[in-house]
Amino acid sequence: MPRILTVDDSAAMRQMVRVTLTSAGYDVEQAKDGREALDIANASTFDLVITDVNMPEMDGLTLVRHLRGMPSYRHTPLLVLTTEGSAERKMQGREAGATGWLVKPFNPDRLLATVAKVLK
Amino acid sequence: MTLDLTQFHDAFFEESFEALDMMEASLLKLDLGAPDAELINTIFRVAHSIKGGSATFGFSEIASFTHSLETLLDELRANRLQVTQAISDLLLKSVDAMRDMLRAVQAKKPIDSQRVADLQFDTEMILAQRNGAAAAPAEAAAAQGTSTSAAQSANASPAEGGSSTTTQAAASTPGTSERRWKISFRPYPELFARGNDPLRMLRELAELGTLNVEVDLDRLPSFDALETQNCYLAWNLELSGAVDEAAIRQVFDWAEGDCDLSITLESTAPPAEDITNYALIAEFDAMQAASGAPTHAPVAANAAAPAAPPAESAGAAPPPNALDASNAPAAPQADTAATAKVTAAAAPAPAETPARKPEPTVNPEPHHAPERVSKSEAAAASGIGDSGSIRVSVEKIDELMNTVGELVITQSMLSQLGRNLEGPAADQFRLGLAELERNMRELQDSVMRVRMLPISFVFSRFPRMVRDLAQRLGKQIELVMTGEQTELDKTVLEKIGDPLVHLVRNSIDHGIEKPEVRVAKGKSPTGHLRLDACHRGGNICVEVSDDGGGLDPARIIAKARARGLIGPNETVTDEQACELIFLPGFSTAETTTDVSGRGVGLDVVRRNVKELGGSIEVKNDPGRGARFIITLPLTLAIVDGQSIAVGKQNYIVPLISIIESLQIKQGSLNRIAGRGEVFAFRGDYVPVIRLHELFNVEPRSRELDEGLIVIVEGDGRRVGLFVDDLLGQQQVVIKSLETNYGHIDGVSGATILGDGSVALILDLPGIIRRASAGARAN
Repeated sequence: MPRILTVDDSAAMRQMVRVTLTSAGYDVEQAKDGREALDIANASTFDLVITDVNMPEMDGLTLVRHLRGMPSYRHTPLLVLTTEGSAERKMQGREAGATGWLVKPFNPDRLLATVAKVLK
Repeated sequence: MTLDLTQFHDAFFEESFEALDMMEASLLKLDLGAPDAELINTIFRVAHSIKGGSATFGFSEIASFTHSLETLLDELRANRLQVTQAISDLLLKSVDAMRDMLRAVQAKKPIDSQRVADLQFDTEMILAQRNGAAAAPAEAAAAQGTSTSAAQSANASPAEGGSSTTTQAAASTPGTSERRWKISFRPYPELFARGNDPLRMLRELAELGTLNVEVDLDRLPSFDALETQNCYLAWNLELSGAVDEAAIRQVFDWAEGDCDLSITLESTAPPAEDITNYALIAEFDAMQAASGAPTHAPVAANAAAPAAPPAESAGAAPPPNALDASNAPAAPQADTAATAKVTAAAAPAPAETPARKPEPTVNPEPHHAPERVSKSEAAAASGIGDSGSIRVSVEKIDELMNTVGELVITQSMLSQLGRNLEGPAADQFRLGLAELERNMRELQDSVMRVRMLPISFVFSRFPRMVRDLAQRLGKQIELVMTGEQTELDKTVLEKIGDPLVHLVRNSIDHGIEKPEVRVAKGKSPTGHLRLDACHRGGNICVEVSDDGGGLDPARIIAKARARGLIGPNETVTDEQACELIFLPGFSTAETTTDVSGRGVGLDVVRRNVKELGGSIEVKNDPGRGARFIITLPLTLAIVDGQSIAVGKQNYIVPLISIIESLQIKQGSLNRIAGRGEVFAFRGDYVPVIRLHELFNVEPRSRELDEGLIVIVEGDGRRVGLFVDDLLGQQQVVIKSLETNYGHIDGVSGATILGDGSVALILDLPGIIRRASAGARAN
């Protein structure tokens, strides 16, 4: 089963994403900020990383930048889950190396559809 | 899938309330002149996640409100707007509003829409003013008039910028009619560098309508020049179906900026050849498979009879391919071919090039070294993903605490049995008991620590309170708090809040003077209020101090006389005068204000503190400030006690209040009128309280030299308790007498001893009060 790492500082959001993805059979690991995610990503490999942008410690864009620089994540899809859908934000995500983005509000069906698309 | 989102509500509420506390604290720390960027970011993050959660759960009013707020905060964050007092006030009010909204939603009650709309209006006003347009106020007014959701939608979907421009006209027409689109998709070589996969996009396009795929191998270099990390392929696509341009752009959304994309509406829509399309996709799959990319099921091409769409060109002309790649393809077609048109007939061609170097894959096979695996397993096992703490209801902890309490009793029962045991196994038994006792103590400590919370839970409300009150009273006050991490029992913590609020209000209202008064007195115009918490012995010390006017003994005495609290001729020292303020019915404020005067005096504060087993005293420095010192026990559940015997009864004296135990000679005792028996102790005369008289029990002896005097301190006064004997020291679990029986003056509770008998725990301030009342009566 594909392994997905999701990163969000909100426990409620983490819980929702985890329940949604695991119910669809994905293997999910979670981190509460970029720094923790980077540690987990370093210790393992994932088929997909979904990260929130605005987080304490290390924000999502910095995380994406770090991951892209790592050989094992050079081509891994990295999705940014964000409430900020502005073009400026998306551009920043792109420049950091994100594959794409998911705009909140969180919708389980949309999340699953996108994940399925990316992991096919 | 259907997912019941309500199961996440609790987590969201809890998290949001915590976040709001954090936002409030950050707002209070915000320096208007030079706001700290990280603080603003924290504040922004709170509004942002509440907005996200609310939108997810369909709490539209909160989502709308937080959206406006977020817009304002974004302006602050980007330094396009300065933090003013007005904005800071507005944000604090917004915190309150969000808290109330969340509470309302949580309790499934209606939200106070008017208040929210007013605040949102204020927010929009500030934003409108920043925009500086003359029409701004009108716009804002309109925004308010046309419900909050209108205001939201005005901000919600900013135009999407991008590298490829397009006219939106075609896209905006409803895509009901059949159209035929020509799409030129030329990824830049770095497309893969962001984890994007052209195959995914083609597949998505094929879901929209009938797709004709033409691969452009122009840029494919010779085999030895092939760089596996790069994307060399380009595509010319034809899509027929009831599709509008926006839907197509959506497919390439993520690749925007990583490719040249042009989308043109063709004037005619010839029927597509399904079989060809199918074969093409399958063939593309084969290519991908050969290159190690994951395969996928063939995409079903939709057969549709396309109608002739209006002649209209929507897309901008694609820029010429910027890359001048070497034109030596691995495919059989020669370099001359500008476009290698792959048809069904040519399908096997790419498959015949087995020597092709693998394409970079989107999903590289995980190749982790063994040690990595174990590390990852360790990470998984450690339960990362949540912050390493769990929330447990207080009842569960209390239950645990209770059980541990019972265990302690059982253990001390066993210890007592063990002491009298004889025989070969007795020593071993006692060793085991000692071990048990040590473990019990550790268990007790651990459970107690679970109940401990930092006092910051109580302190956190003060910055806001002090700020608001100072503003209301026209005073300048700087609040300093220390020792916020000092931990104490949750029950104590909950009950200490009100007394502290009272003291802080008092300080602001009566203590600290107005700036002009302070300046006239030669003080700085800004008053200082301190809240300090620390451990002192086995107790917690909490101090509320200010550098205001302090207490005026003359005024206190006059007032106490007027109220008949002291006799007209009774002389009172300044120190005693300060004690008077704790008497019921005492208030020096000429008029009760809504700040500190609510009919509740310091007597209630003292009573509350005493109920917690603590004490309060005041240190006065007239003209320069007052210091209220509250001493509290760490916990209400267990006390370190000294067992004492009086006749056949055992009592427990809290170890913390014992100063010394000694034997005295009959002759060293004096009788002083009104104070009963006293004896000299360290240069002071200490009254003796005969416990057997107080509790009316038959002592072993009434002769002072045949018993012991235990010098104890309570309420700042020392007394000697005359007892028969000292027994062991032990931790005892406090059982409330009030819930099981009733209140007894001088007794704070009871405990069950190892032999199963009940011992009363002495409340020394109460005993001193009882005894001095008795002495006065005599």
